[in-house]
Amino acid sequence: MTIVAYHAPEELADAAELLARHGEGVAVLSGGTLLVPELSRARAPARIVLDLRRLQVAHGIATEPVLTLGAAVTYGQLMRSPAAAALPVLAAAAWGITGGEQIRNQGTVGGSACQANPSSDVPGCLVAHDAAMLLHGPLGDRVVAARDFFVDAFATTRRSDELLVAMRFKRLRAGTRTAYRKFKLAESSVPIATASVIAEPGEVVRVVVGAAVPRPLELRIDPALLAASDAEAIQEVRRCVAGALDAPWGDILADADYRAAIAPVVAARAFLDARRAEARP
Amino acid sequence: MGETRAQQIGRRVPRLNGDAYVTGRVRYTADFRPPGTLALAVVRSPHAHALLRRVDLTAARAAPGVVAAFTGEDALRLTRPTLHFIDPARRGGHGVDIRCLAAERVRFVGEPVAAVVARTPEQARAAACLAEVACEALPFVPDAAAALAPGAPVLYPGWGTNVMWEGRLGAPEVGEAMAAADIVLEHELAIHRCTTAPIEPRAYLATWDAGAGRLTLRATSQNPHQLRAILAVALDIEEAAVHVLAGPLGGAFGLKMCGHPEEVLVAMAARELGATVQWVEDREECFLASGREQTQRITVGARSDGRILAIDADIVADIGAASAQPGWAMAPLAPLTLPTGYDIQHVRARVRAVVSNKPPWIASRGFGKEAANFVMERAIDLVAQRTGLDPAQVRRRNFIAADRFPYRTATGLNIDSGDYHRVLARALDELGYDAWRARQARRPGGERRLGVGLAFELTPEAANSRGSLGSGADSATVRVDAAGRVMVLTGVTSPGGGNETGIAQIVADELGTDLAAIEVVQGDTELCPHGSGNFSGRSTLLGGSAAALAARAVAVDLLTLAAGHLARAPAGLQLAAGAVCEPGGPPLLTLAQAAGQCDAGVVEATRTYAPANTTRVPDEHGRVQPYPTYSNAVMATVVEVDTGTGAVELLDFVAAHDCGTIINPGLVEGQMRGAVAMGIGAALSERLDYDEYGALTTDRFKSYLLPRALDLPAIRVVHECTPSPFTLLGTKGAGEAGIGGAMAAIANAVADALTPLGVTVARLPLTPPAVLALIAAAESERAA
Repeated sequence: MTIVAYHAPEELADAAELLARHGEGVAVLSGGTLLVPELSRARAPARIVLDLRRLQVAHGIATEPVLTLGAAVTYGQLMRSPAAAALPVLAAAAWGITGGEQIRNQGTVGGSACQANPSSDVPGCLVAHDAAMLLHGPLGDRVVAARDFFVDAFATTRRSDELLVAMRFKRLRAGTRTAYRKFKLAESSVPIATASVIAEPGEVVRVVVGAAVPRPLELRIDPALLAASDAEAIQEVRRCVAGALDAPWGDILADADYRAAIAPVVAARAFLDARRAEARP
Repeated sequence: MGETRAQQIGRRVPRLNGDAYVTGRVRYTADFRPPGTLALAVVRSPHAHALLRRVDLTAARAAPGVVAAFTGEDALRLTRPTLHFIDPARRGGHGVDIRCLAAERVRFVGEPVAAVVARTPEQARAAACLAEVACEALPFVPDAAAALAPGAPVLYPGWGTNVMWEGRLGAPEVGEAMAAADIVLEHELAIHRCTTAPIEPRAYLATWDAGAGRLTLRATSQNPHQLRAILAVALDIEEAAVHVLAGPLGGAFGLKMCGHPEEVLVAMAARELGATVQWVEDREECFLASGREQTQRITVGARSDGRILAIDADIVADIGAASAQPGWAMAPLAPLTLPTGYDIQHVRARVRAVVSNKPPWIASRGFGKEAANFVMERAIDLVAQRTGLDPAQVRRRNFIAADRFPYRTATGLNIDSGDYHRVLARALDELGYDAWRARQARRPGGERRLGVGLAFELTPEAANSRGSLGSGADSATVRVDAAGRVMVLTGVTSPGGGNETGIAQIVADELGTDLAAIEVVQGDTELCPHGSGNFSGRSTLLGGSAAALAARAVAVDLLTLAAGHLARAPAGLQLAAGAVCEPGGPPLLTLAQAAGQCDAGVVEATRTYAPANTTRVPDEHGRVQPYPTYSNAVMATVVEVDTGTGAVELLDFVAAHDCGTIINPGLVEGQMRGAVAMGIGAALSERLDYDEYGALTTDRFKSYLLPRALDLPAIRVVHECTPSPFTLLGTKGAGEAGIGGAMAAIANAVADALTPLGVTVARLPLTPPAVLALIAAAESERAA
C-alpha cells in the first residue's frame, strides 16, 4: 500500500475525527520505529498516516495527582523523568531497548503497546505495573486494564476508531522489591523471553512473562517463596511458569518450543533478582 | 639509503584520510547525484523457480515520473552476456550466459526481471511495485541436498545435472593410510548461509555521452578495471570508451567484486536514454548476497598419540543460482586449503558446487578458506577428545615444523613460511591457557559452563588463479612533481580498510619523504595503471610492492637529476627528510628542486609487481599453486555457555597472528578485529533463512543478527613475524585472516564446555536455540 495522506493534528478532537472517519484506513505514527521501516519498504498497513508528534496530550508525563505517561512519551523521556523511579520495571526495560540512544529517543511506550508485538518489552511491563490504558474514541474516553488491553499477538482491545492517549499507574508501596529480565539472542535481537517481577509487601508476588507468549502471562506467586531457598524458589517458579505456558509464541528468531524452554528459566532468575533487590523506600 | 630506510614501515600511523571518514566528509558513490539524474528501481522475481510468461510494465510506465522501463527481452536485445569474473566453464565446469535481467526463467526470489527508470527514486520504486510478473511456477530446489536427490529438477537444462563444478584434490586414495590409524572419526560438519552486510550497500551512477559514445560509471566496486571490461563486453563497445570511477567504499568484503546484474543494467539504461542513471541498493536487496553455506563430510584417521595420518573430505557447497560474480569460486577453496597448516600428506578432498533456487553465492571475505579452517580445527578437537589429549598438544603433534618451509601440501599449495609452534605458544600465553584450564577444572558443573577453544588458521592470500579476470600481479605509478608533491596511483583499491595509508608508508620510505607529501589515488581507470583492485588480501601486498618498485625507479631518476645539477656522483647521494643529501649530511636539494631539474617538471615511473611462488598451470598431478603467501594465526577464546538458555558469552579472545612483515600494525589489527567479529557472527548469530516458497525471511538487521559492540569481547591481537621469502618486502596478505579461526575457536570452545554433557558440535551458527537443542538431544540420548 502507498501513503496518500499525512496528518499531524494538534488537537485530540481532530485526531479523533480522522480515526472516526477512516478507522482501519489510518496508521497511527508515534515514534515510528516500527511503522517507518515498513513504509520505506512499501509495506504501509494503511493509506493515511496520523502522526502524534504535535498532539500535546499524548506527550505529557505527570507524577501527581496520578502517575500518567502520555502515549507518545519516548523511552528516553521516561528514563529522564521522575516517573522512572516510580515505574522501576518499565524503566528497566526502557534502559535496555535495543538500538541505543537513537531508538530510545524515538520509540514510544504507547506505540509499542498498540503494536502488541509479543517479542517486545512493553506489554509485559505494563501488565506488571497494572497500567490503566486510556483510550479516546467517538463515544468519549474509556479505561482498560493492561491485562485486558492485550488480547493476542498484534491485537489489542483498541478499536480502529480509538486512540491510545495515555497510561495511568498506581504507586508501588514502600518495601516493594522488583526485577526485570530480558533474554535476547544477541544485542540486536528482539526480546525472546522477558520476566517482570513485582513483590509488594503483604501481597502475592506478580510475575509477568512476556515475549515468549502471544499476550503477557501473569502469574501470582506465594510470597512465602521469597523466603525459600534458592533451589526451591527456582524450582517452584519454573514449575509455575512452565505449567501456565499453554501456547508459547514463536517467530523467525526463535520458535515456540525454544521460548517455552527458556521462559521458566528467565522468570526464575528474575524472581531471584527481586529477592535480592533493595526494597523501595 | 641506509639509516633513512624503514622509518615509516612498521609504524602505527593513523589513517591518512581517517578524519574525513569519521567526520562524515567522505563522498560515497550514492552521494554523487548530479542534477537531472534519473533513478532506476529493479523489479525482482517473486518466485524461486518459474518460467517467465509475461512481464507487463504498462501500469509502471504510466506511473508519475516514469521515463522508461526495461524487461529481460530488452536486455537480450541491448546487451551481450555478462563476462564471468571467474568462468566455471574455463575451469572444466558448466557455463551459462548471464544477463542483467532474466528473460525466460527465474531461479531465485529476488532475481532481477525488469527495471523502471523515473525522475526520482521514490517514483521509480513506486512504479516498480506496479509491474506485473506472470510466471509458470516450476518445482523449486531449496538446497543442495534437494538438488542432488535423484529426479531433482535441473535448474539449467543444458547441464543435465545441478552440479555446476566438481573438483577432486590431493591423493586419489587414502584407504591404506586410513587403515593404519588407531582411530577413525567420521563427522558431518556444516556452515549455514551468511552474508557480509557492509554498512554501505552497492550503488552505481552511469552517464552516457552520446556525442562521444562514451560511458562513465561511478561504482561501489573493488575492481574498476575488471568492471570496465565487463561493461565493454556487455554493451559491445571498446574498453577505451568506458570510464569507471570506484569508491571510496564503506566496506566491501567481496560484495563489491564485479559481475552483478545491476552494473550492466544501469549502464544499459543510461545508454538507451542518453542520460545519467543511478541505482542505489537498499538493505533488503543487499541481504540477497550470500555465501559460506556448505556441508562437509570428513573422515579422519589418527594414531592414539594424536598424530593424524589421513583425511578424506567430501564437501557440498550450496551456491544458489549461477552468477557472473566470482562467489561460486569460493567452493573449491575449502578442499584446496585442507589440511591447512598440518603435516598430513594423505589427504583426499572432493567438492561439488551445487546450484539451488536461492540467491547466488557472492564473494564473501574468507572466500571459502574459512570453511577449510573450520572443518580442520573441528577435526583436530574431535581427535583430541577421542584420544584424551589436550587440543593444544594435538596441534603441536601435527603442525608443519618451522624448518620445513616452503612446504608443499597434499593438495598442491606451497606454503611460504611460518612458525606455527611459536604462534600457538604466544596465543596460549596471552590467553593464560593453563590458568583457564585450572579454573575450568575447579568449576566443572552448574548452569554456566566454561569452555576454552583453540583454532589454528591458515590464510592463503593474493590469488593468482586461472580463468579469472583478476590477476596475481598489480601495478602502480609514482610521480614526483616540481612542487615536491608525490602522487601514487595504484591498480589496487581500498575496501575502506585503509591500505592507502600502508602504501603511502612504503613509498615514504623509498623516497625518504614525509607522509604528508604523499597522495594516493585509487579506483579511477583513466588515471590509474591497470590492476585488479581489491580481493584476496592483495592490496598492500601487491599494490604496495608495485609502488615500492616504482618509487625506487623514481628515486634513481631523482638522484641522477640531482647529481647532474650538483656536479656530484649519484652513488654518493641519497634521499632523506624530503631532500637529496649525502649520507648524514645536510640537505643539498629538495625533492621539488630535484624533480624540477627534469625538463618535464615531473619524474614518474610505473611498475608491475608479481610475487614468486605461484603457478597457474597444473603440474603432473593436476595441482596448481595459486597463492604466493600464507599468513597464519592461532585464535584462543574462552566462552561461558548458559545451559539454561543456550546463550554463549565470550569472556576473552586472543588472536596471535603472523602476516610476515607488517607495514602498519594498526591497519593489520583493524583487519583482524573486523574479520574476527565477522567470524563470531557466523559462529553465533548470523543466518540467512528462507520461507517455504524460497523467499528470504532474514532481510533486515532485526532478523539477521550481526554482532554489535556489546556482543564482542575485547579482541586482543598479538603479532609474530616470519617474513615471506617470496615477496618484495616480506609481507603476506592480511585482509581475510580471522574469520575461519574465530568460527572454529568458538565452535571448539562451546564443544569444550558441553563435552561433559555428551554434546557434539557440528553446525554453525551456535545460536542459543541451536545450543539448547544440542543439550536436549544429548540428554535424551543419555536417557535412551
